[in-house]
Amino acid sequence: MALLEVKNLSAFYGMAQSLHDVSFDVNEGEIVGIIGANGAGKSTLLDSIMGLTKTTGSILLDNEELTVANTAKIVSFGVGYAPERANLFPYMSVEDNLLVGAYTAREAIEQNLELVNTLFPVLKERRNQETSTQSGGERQMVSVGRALMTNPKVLLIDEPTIGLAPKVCNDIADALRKLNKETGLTILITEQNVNFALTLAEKLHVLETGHIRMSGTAEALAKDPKLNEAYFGH
Amino acid sequence: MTFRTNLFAGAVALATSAIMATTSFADTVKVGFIGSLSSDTGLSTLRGAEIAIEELNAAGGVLGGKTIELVSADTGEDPTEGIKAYEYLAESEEVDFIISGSIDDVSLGWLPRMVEYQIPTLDTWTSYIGIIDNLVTDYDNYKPYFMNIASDEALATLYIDFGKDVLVDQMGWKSVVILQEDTAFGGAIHGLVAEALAPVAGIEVVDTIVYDVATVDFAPIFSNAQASGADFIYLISSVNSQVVSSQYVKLQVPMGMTGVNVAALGQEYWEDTGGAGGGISTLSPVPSVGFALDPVSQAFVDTYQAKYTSRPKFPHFNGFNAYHGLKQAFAAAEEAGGFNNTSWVDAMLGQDLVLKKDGEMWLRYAFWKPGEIEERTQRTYPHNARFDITAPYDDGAPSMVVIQWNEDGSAGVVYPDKFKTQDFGIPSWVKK
Amino acid sequence: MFQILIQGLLLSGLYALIAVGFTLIFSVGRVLNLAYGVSLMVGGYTFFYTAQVLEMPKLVGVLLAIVVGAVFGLLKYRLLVKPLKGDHVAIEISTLILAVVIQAGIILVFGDATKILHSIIDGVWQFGTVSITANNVAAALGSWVLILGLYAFIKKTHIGRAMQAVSMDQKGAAISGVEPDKVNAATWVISGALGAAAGVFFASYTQLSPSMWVAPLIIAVAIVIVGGIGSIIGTLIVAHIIGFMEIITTTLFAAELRGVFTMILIIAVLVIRPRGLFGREEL
Repeated sequence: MALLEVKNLSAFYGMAQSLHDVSFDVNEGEIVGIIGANGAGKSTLLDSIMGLTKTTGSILLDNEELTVANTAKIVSFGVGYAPERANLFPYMSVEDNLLVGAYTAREAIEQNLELVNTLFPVLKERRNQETSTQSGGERQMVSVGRALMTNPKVLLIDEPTIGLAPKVCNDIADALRKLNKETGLTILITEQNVNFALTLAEKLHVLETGHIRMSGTAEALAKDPKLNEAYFGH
Repeated sequence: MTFRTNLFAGAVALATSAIMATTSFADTVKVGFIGSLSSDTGLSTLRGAEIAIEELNAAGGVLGGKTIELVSADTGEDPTEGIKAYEYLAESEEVDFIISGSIDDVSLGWLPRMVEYQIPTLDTWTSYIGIIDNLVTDYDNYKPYFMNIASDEALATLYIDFGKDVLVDQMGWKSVVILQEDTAFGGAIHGLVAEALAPVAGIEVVDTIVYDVATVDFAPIFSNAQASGADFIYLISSVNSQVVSSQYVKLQVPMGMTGVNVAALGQEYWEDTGGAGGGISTLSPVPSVGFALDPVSQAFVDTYQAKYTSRPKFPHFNGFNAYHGLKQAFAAAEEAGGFNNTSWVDAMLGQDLVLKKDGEMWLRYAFWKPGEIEERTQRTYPHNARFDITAPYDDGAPSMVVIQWNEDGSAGVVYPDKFKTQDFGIPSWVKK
Repeated sequence: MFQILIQGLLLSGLYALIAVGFTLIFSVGRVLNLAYGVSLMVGGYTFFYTAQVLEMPKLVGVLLAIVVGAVFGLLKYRLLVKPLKGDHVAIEISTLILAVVIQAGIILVFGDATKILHSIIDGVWQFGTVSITANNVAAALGSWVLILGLYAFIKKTHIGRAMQAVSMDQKGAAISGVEPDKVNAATWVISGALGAAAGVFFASYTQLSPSMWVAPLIIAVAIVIVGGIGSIIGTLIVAHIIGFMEIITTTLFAAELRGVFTMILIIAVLVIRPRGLFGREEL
């Protein structure tokens, strides 16, 4: 059954509409990818799920309507978010960043901290370092880690690979795969890097100027000529 | 709640008087009050005037049965507001006579307006000699002005005697450290102490510490004063005086201190310092706190206290001045047939109210005439209160007395001897 | 030397106490709360009314002052700061206007005469030319306790970390489950309470008057500018720099120049190190 249901979602930044009637489901235990070019509306989509934009339509998590709740409430319902720019707290230590994530999930701190440290051992080593002095890859890890500290049912990740070296991309992909496999956590990930998305997600949706243009399994889409044309130029 | 209720009543009274003003008719005489409506000083003058007016109206009115109507203009102790207030009284209200409870700077602000409008005006609080000097040099323009408190110079002369008689002869103090606030007032009094009091009385000024009026912490200043090795501290303070005096008490500075402390002039001082005010002494115009009163002044205080329950609960000296001065102004108007002519000035100069206590002259409300020379200072004080600065004070009230607050919250006069109710002393924590 | 050391420590403690609530608001809320001095005034008058007019126990007066200060902080946030939605200029102007309005209110209720508070704690010791009052020792110690306590609170508790988080990244805080609105409200409450407590001590040493909000505001602004906005430990250190400078100036140079060196220091820091000595904007 669907854990997260997005129905007829439209989003607005001021007068401009940046999402048009977007609908899709994410089932429990799945990794779902949203691919699209810069400006297609990927970040807006995730921000909208988090209640950070003005929207119409409906978003259900476990049949709980999210569009009427504020961001903090949505987090406590079980949506974890690692945004594109990470939005870390630069002058706080890694550990303190993670602990802020536990603001609404205080009972599960130890278990979630353990999970984060297993996934990203480097964060344990650097737990007292301020995040403003960290590399992009480590920051991405802190961001995912902080989202995990909220004890989510579904994890939203916005373009985790942007600006990162291929080796780091692979590390992150491995960690997410492991996370999905071992804990069964549901993940909704956006990517510009189609290859990365195809290797990670089982189901994908292609977003273009705020509309979903194409949907399918990774296998099916990998063979789709239109997608190949649009994203690989052949 | 009493404050609010009184303020509300006051607001209603003001509103009523404003309505009265627009519908005023010829059988009223208008008196304007200028001063701060929220300070003890301003309220003392206002209430003194109110009581005098009530009594005059109750006795059948003035100038052939007319009723006196009082109009107030608030200065907020700000010179610019003061000028506006004077213009309002002169132009919008067209008052016949103005009674003022203004502080020095405010009076100096509106004084040119008085020259312009030529409205008879009586000051009850400021003692600034510079205003009297204007009458000396330009009498014709300034002659509607009267000041029924002894001016600075008269205060100073008698005060120097206090230095000699009490500080030196009685206490045996030979050297002083002066704590002076950084204001014009502080500078002026410093001149008086360093150049007149000290040399005449034979006191050595070992150090002068000038302090900022916003000073939060006087601990280092008092430490320096102690380190100077002087016998006593001379304090000159008119702004935030409670701070320096209460820190003197809270720090239990082990030296005697006297001086000019404006906050200590009112009966509210004890309450305002929360009891941290014992031992503080200051010069004060008369009738000061702790001053024994003659029957007439006592009757005024009784009326005052029956009528007003909010602060100031006891009128400051200018409240007495306003009460007697307003009655004298109307007595002069009766003689002169009104206010707006030279004959009122002459009639006012002729007023002479001698208040006796136990058969002795105690207070006197009269004025120095133009050209009349005061014996001891050898100068004239036209239209200034007729003071006396020579014992046995049988020609007028003393220009000032020195008062001292005791550690039990009482206060008394310590100088001159004729008016003395207690001896000058030092606080209990100071070792003799 | 002994005199400068003791008097410097006492004054600096008082200054640190005054500045810390202001620092807190600036770093979390990012606004200059120009009505901060009013929190001190409200605290001072509350103490005066309960302990000195109604003659209730002093401890009751102090606690009540803190409660009233906290409520006042909350009202400021709910009625002024929140509706103005981060328009800094509007918030600064409206807090300044609020300060003037409350000054007028205090005059209406209490009159404009200066009042002196009883010492909260009695006692005075003499060491040579140095007098030390128990009240000031308590204020200085109290300021250390409050500041270190605040530091621990900010660093070690969930709400404290949430305050830091809000001060550094509002979106990051929101997606961590923190409601910036509630954290801001809590910050204003704590700042108001700290201000009121500082006000009781400040007023018990100096005076109560309807214009007493100005001096502490200037002290707080000076410390925050020199310290570099928002560092709590920086606030403590700079309070000591300014406090000691003032005592040294008064003792060794000239008492009337008390504030001048502080002003020169502020200007110098603004020119040389605009972000302050410990400079950064977050807690």
